[in-house]
Amino acid sequence: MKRLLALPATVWYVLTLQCEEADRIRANFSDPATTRAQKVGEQMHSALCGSCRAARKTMREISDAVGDLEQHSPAQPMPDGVRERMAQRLREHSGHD
Amino acid sequence: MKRPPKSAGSEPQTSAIGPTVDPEVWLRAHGDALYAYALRRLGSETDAEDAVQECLLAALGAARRFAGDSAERTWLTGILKHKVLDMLRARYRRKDQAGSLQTLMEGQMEDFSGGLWRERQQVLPILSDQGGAARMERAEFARAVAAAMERMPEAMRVVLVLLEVEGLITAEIGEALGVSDSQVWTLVHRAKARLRRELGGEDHGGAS
Repeated sequence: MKRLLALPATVWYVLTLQCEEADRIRANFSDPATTRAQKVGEQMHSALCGSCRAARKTMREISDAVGDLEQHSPAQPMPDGVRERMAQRLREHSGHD
Repeated sequence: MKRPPKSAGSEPQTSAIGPTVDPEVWLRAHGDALYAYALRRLGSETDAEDAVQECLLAALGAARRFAGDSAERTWLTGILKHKVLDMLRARYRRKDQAGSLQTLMEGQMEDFSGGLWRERQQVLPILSDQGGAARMERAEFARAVAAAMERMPEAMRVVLVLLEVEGLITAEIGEALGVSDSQVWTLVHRAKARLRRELGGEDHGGAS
């Protein structure tokens, strides 16, 4: 009975969710604090809203590309001077122990 | 701090379960990877150097507790991640840097009006199946994103990396930078909108 009473509020939330809130939910999708109702709301909203669907696809591709950053862009090696300086400090630190 | 015991001879010491306990060996084997990791997140060579050094010194102190149940580089990267977050926390709590961060987050969200998109959103042509010659391969797109991120204000780049590469949630990023998670969302949204514009996804008008 309690669950039945709670249902209209959830349905109301899902039906009235707007683009800005949907975008905020997308940014927090992996946050444990994001509720199931919010996730369902975002999915339903995106299914009905062409702009949110397009934004979601683009953002997901951008997210994947940023996540793959280390794989696709050349890493800058440590300059020799930095390596030598660091090795020296590590030796000094070890020597003082 | 007492240095972990070293084996006889000049060979790096390796325990029965595998981990090396010589920071100079770590520096040779993982220095480039650790430095690149720190540099990407901190954007400053000096800060990256400091972070890697602090990481190696902390690892030296913690070497006895390293159970060897993860790869050595993964273990060192985990330590470095905390050092990087500490440095970001200190950086964005300094008055001059906090000001530049606030500037990037202030004002209303310009993409929305009354909760709805102000302009109709479209999939980037370079990602669309209808993109034809303009369509980019995944690796090419990732390189274009990386190049566009280099041109971003530092705080935007930092937030994107923490969210998408480190997998932090907005509340954790907010805690690190000393701002609310709502402000982090604003910054994330603006960072991605900027990338979308730079990658050719200017909105073309029209209602949703």
